[in-house]
Amino acid sequence: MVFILEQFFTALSKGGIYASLALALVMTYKATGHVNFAQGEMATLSTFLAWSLVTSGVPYWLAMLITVAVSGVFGLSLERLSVRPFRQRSPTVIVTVSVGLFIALNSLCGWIWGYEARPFPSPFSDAHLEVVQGVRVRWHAVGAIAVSNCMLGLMFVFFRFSKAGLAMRGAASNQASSRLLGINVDRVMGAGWAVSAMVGAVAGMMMAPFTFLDPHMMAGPLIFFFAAALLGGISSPLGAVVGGYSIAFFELIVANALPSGNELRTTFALLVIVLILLLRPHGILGQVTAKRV
Amino acid sequence: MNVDIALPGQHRAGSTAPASRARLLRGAAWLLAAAAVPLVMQGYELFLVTSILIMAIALLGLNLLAGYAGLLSLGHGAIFAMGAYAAALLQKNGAVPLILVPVLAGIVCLIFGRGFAFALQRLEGMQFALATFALAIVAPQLLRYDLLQRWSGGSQGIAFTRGAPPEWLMLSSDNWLYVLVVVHLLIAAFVVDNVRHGPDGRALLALKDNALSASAMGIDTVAAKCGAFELSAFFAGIAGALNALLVQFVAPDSFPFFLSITLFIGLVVGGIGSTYGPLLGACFIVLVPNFAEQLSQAATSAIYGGVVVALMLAEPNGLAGIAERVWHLRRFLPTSPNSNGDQT
Amino acid sequence: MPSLLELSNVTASYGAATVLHGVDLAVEAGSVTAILGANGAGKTTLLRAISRMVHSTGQIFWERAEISGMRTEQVARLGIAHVPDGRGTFASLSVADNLALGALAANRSQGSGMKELVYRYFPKLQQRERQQAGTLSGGEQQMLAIGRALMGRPRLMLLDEPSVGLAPLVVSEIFSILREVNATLGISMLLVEQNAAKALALAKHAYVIESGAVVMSGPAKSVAADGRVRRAYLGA
Repeated sequence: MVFILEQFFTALSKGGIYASLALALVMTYKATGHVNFAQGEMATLSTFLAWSLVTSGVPYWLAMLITVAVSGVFGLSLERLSVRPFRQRSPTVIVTVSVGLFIALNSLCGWIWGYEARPFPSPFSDAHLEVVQGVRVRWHAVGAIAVSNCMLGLMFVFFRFSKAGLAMRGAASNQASSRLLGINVDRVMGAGWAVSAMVGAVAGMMMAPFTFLDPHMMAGPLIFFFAAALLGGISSPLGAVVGGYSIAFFELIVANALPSGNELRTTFALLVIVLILLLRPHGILGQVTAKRV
Repeated sequence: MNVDIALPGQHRAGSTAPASRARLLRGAAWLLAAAAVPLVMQGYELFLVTSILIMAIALLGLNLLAGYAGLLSLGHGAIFAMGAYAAALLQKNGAVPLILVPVLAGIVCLIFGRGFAFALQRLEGMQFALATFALAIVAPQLLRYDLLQRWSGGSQGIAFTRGAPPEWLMLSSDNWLYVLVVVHLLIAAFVVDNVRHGPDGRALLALKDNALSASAMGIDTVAAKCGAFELSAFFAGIAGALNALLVQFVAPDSFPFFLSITLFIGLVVGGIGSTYGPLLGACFIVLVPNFAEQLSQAATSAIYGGVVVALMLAEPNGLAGIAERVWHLRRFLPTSPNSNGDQT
Repeated sequence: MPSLLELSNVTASYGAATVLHGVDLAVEAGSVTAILGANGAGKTTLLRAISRMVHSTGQIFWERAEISGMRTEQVARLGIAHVPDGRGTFASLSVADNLALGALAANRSQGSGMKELVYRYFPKLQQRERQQAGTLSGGEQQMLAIGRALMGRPRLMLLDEPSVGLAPLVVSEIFSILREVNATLGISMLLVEQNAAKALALAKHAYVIESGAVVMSGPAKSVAADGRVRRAYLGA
């Protein structure tokens, strides 16, 4: 029972991180209409930057602030240099560039920081919090839950109530009409990538203390947050959050309920992806788009 | 559906004699070149060439899938692994003769490919790529899976010795494997060539262009897509098997997610839909790591990423496209008969 | 009277097919100008050329300044509100969000109070404020499209076949609102319509386009009285 509760909190913290990364994926998808295979690697790069800052003495929260800001600029540049030039090209070319970006960013991390795994500092104490009798949860897990949900809340407010958020939703819904209303769609797309990079940066920084930091840090979580984004609906920000927590809890169930379940987790994520694509490609909360022939 | 319009790069239905004679001559020329290799190379160099030819087999299938069915697979590393493990298991006890191993492994993968393609028949473009992407990630995990350890050897993998060549041939084991690889490559190239220039090829092109119209015209789009995928799986399986026979070892670490990416890179860099793309792409993915690893661990990936993006900008038809452009430039050579600027 | 918008020798093509052949046109400030023509005559392309959604040669003047080098969003910010064919609804967003988008790029001083006005003209939109715009009926979506255009308090509205697919009662309602908007707010309109009767009743000036060229122009009453127009477009 104690074990279950502890696992529950692990799932909560994982869920928050998956939800954040899935949200980042959804944002780039809504901005450009294509899946960004390099989403995880962007977050890894940001996390490495944070690591460099923190290990050279910059206080943690200031380092996070700087990392988030730089990541925003980085996301903007990526959209401008590696997405926009290929906007009119075939899906084959676009997928290829996306995969190329994946490889390039991954190798950039390896080149600058090397491949040895290193611990990543957490601003939260290393100790455990005793939530209920006997149930001990790492302070970092609690912190990750808090930070992730704060950020998700901020994103919600941003999309729902700000002018920039409205412009992004409009551009994602109908590009041509947005232009006719005076919205600079190019700039909005860039902003979408910028925000998504910032969200990914925070998620990476929350994840790294759990997984250790190396260029392949996202290799494991990748399939999970992709599954989460697809489950919730690749075009739905709310779906990303729902999907993130759902996948985390399903993962928990699979790991504990099935024999050798822990090793089956990845296969389970694959099954989720395949089933969603087959049965309900727009996910739980996504929009069905009719294709005009 | 008998459309007698010559599409670019296609022959008319009912190839004329000179055309197929040209193909035979080309094949013979390549055969001669291939035969010459073991005479001048041994050891590591032979190993590299063998590797290149093995990868070319895998890329032949991928090229057909992408160039003709318009489906991008990011997961063929998993199928390659399947072929490799099949070969290891078939050879381990020495029960199956070496000669049959690649084809049998290929058939195993073909069956898997058929099932996979059938299950995912409704997926297109980005969604299909995503599903295969997920497959590539899962495969190494499955290979490590506890319950399968009895067959897969778990994390340790399986080491084995490949069967010896027949004595009357008087070939070394390495040369014998090389011969097998060449034979498989030629057969694969022949099969793919036939598909491309035949009615199936046209059906696939129509499918790639506009699936809805193609099915409205009576083309069984599902069968066409599944057929292309299972053929590509067949070849990837053969390639995986030959590779396993080459190194006489399989383990989960030999088939990481990055292998699928590497095959994808080979496909794109070679040139999707081109005849020599698979060979050019194979050279790229075997030779680049060979030299880049000496620079740094990150160099290979960096080159892959950079080259791929640069190609998409400048020459989406890959190395084959570049080669074709260079070939066309010969018009401007002063001694060329076409140098007065005849328009093609 | 000064021309708000003037087109001079505007030619537009889609690939090899020329759709507009040297069109000359002027929209008088404060008035409604109608463009009549059959399907495929090039009316939609004309509006798209003004909004720079389609490439065209020739000159387009807005208040004497050349605008054909601008991008679509820049043209919109000049105060030209284009209500496209098909309505261009933001289907996945709410009615309120659709309207808010209309005000987004406009100056705050211009747009204040417009939402109340739009709801006064189209009470149905207020009723369905929270509803997803894609679920609205055709007529309601047209009202939404017009309302959205009004939110930015434009100087000129380009309307592409507002009556298409709508019941006659709804069409009458929409046209009477357009009349009021033009009269009370002084917003000029360039109205592309297949419903010639309604368009000529509302407009001060009219052009008739056939196969991408202007074949007739003049005061709306004269155009309406013309024998050829009556036979071809008014069923007389």
